[in-house]
Amino acid sequence: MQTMLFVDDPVRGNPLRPTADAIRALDGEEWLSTILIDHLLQTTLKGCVPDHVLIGSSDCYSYFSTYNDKLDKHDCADTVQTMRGGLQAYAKSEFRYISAACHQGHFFVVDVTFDSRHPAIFKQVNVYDSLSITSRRRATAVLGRLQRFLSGFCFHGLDHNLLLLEKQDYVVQQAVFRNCPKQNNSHDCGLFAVAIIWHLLEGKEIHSSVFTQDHIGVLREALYRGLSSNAE
Amino acid sequence: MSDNEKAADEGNETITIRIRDQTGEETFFKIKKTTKMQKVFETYASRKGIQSSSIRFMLDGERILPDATPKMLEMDDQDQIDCMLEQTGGRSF
Repeated sequence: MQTMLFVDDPVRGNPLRPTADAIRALDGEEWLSTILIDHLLQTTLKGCVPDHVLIGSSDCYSYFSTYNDKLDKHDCADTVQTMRGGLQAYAKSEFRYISAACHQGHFFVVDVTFDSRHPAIFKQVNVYDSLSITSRRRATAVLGRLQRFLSGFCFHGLDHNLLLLEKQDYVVQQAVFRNCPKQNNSHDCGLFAVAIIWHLLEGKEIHSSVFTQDHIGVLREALYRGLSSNAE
Repeated sequence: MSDNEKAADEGNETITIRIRDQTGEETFFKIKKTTKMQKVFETYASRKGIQSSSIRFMLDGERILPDATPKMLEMDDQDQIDCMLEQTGGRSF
């Protein structure tokens, strides 16, 4: 059975081409788009991510919502069946799923290690949020949707799926909000999320000063120069 | 019917596909099985007043490339494509 990409993994998926407007947002204090963030992950991480690590699309909340809705629709039975066939390969071994999730105008990092052979299914669920005041509700929405997606597709029909079906907030309960660098402006959360993912993949421990707002400012300028010259 | 005529006939075969956005609204397109999806995407985006490169189009959980055709994607009549409009994030305090 063919394995399906887990929620449009940008690193392993087809090329994403952000619009000129999306790139121009880097030049200043604009908010960044999900396609630009996924494009950055795609171009910087392609070929350097171990097989057991999946990078999710930053639009993962939209994907989870769309596909979870299909689970309840009779005329989507064929789609659900096709997707289950492709996604159930992920339930067979240990996987780490990392995404710069975007929900309600904010990017934050969700880092989940799940393993069907582990009694709790999940080994760890970490959330890294660059806002000083983190919103548990926002992360809860994404993790809740992730749980339903896992139980409806990847783990569907397997014995340990009962854990996911019985406790609706099972993943949320296991989530730990980790300390991480904080943004001091209202526009850099996407780049903080990308930088945290880079550090996680390098195996570095994330703490509040592993990088700073100044580093992100320099990164923003460098990315704008690189992307806008490529686009010309 | 010769093989060439059969191939031409297959190319002219039309199907109706549905594009469903995140709100559940569906837009219908009647297209040939050999039409590139890029044409559908651009028509859809221009109707919505947005750029096609700011939308991701998905079939059964896989993102569709603009050069693909319904024939390559093995699409049938009334098949549904999901589309996701890009979001932006930054976060005001």
